[in-house]
Amino acid sequence: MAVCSPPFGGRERVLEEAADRLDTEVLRLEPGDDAATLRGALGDGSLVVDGVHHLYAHLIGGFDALDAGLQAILGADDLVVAGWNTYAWTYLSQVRGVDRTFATRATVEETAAEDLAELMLERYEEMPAFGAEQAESGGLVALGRSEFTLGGRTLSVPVPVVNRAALSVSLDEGDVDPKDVVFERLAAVSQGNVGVATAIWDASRREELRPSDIVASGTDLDLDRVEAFCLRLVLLKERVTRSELARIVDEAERVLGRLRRADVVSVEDGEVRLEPTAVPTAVAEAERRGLQ
Amino acid sequence: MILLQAGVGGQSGVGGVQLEPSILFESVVVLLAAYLLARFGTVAISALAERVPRRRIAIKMFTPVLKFLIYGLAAYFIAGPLLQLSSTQVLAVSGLLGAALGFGLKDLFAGVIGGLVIITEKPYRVGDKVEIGDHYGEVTGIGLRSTTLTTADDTAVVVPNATMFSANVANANAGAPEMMVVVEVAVARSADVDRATDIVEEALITSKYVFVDDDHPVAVVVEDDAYYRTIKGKAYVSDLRDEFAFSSDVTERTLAAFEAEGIESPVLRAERTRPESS
Repeated sequence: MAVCSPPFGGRERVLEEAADRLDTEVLRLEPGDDAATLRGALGDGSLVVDGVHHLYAHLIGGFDALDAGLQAILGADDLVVAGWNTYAWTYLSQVRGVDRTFATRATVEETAAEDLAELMLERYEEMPAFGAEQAESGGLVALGRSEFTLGGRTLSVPVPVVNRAALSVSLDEGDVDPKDVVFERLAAVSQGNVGVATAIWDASRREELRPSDIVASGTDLDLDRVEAFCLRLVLLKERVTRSELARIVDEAERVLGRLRRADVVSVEDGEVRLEPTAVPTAVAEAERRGLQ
Repeated sequence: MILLQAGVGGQSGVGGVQLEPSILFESVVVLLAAYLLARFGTVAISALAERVPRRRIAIKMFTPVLKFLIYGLAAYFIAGPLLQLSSTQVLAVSGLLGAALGFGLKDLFAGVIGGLVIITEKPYRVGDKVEIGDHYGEVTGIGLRSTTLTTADDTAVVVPNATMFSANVANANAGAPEMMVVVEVAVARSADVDRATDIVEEALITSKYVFVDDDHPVAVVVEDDAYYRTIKGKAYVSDLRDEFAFSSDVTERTLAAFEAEGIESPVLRAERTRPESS
């Protein structure tokens, strides 16, 4: 059985529950582990294993350990519950058919805004004051400037732009509780991912919280192809060794430096980790570019 | 026969053609406004399209439509006051127009008709990778008379729209941002072809340019030749502009892996079997 969730989406909790019911422990595969770790744990009753995506590396010859691990799982006599990163699962299903190895697949679903609100209210004793969005300018349409080239000359001309803040106020007018709007936005930005929502909530907390304060890390980042590819790799595996990234990504140190400065990834003990607040940015960037 | 009429008070004309200075001035203003509007519209559509790579071609499709609309309206506004013809004069002008089309303007007219067919039937759109006649490149503009292709070596090739009536048009992506790229490598007949095939497949699926889903699968085929085997890797790129970068990336990493694993290429094989005396 495969259990899939996005990074920080609650897969660990589900696997712990499964391990409790099967009276076993969760085997957590780490970056750099090979199929021997998995094979060694099989054959001793039911097995709950997390991070099977760590068995593959995104390069030529990087699928051998994964193939060996899947063969071992296929040959197991007892129940195997395997935890996967959703994005790695989708990619590996397309290119290696990993979905054919598992008879059943469970997905950790998105959490609704009201459930997120309940979770946050339970988790934190003190709640901030919730404020409605304030538009800096009253008009729905403001004038901006846009540059275009005509006959070799660059001209700057005024163009109408939608005042998003004013539009938001306009849409929110009425008896809508600002708290509901904040949690709706938290659910939308985090895509219902509990771990991501919690991290964004922690990063956004202040005395008075408005919907526009809820933002993911790196939203304003303008990534080039290589940086977006590197971020995609970290999204697929959640944690990657620095040496592995250096083998795959051109100018890995420069790319990592930029992603670190934008609080999109952190680097510790030779391991690159995806920041939970940056998951929405990584997903959006990959979708925008159609990256695998 | 059309009679020349003397102008009164600065007016002059040929039959029902009113050549008043004010009408001429208005025509020039309309033409200029149409040109500026078309340029601004093209730039705006292009800027918007580049911000959304996955929808680039769909958005750029509106560029020729916009141009045709703007210039069509401009022609209507100019021709209205300029040509106030009676039914007899319409017949006469039609005859002249027919003769002009028959002799000198037929190519221009065919180009315009070709442009209309391109817009309505969409054999290709701005942003597509196409081969028209001997030229292969990205369609960077569809005008009233011609289509502009930009080739891999950054040469702009202007192809008359009428060409599509007589030449085959091959469209590599048909309006989609993804396109299939075929990468070929050759190995010696004695090489481990199974391992070589695996390497090509893994080079394809780990490229930073590849796009894989149910509708865009990866495939590797082996073709047998008398002296070597050709391994063809077929995969899609997420952005057709990455066609050559993808091909280069896959080839480079494949050849490096071949060398690391001792998979012989036909050239190496030939060199090794060459007699020393030669």
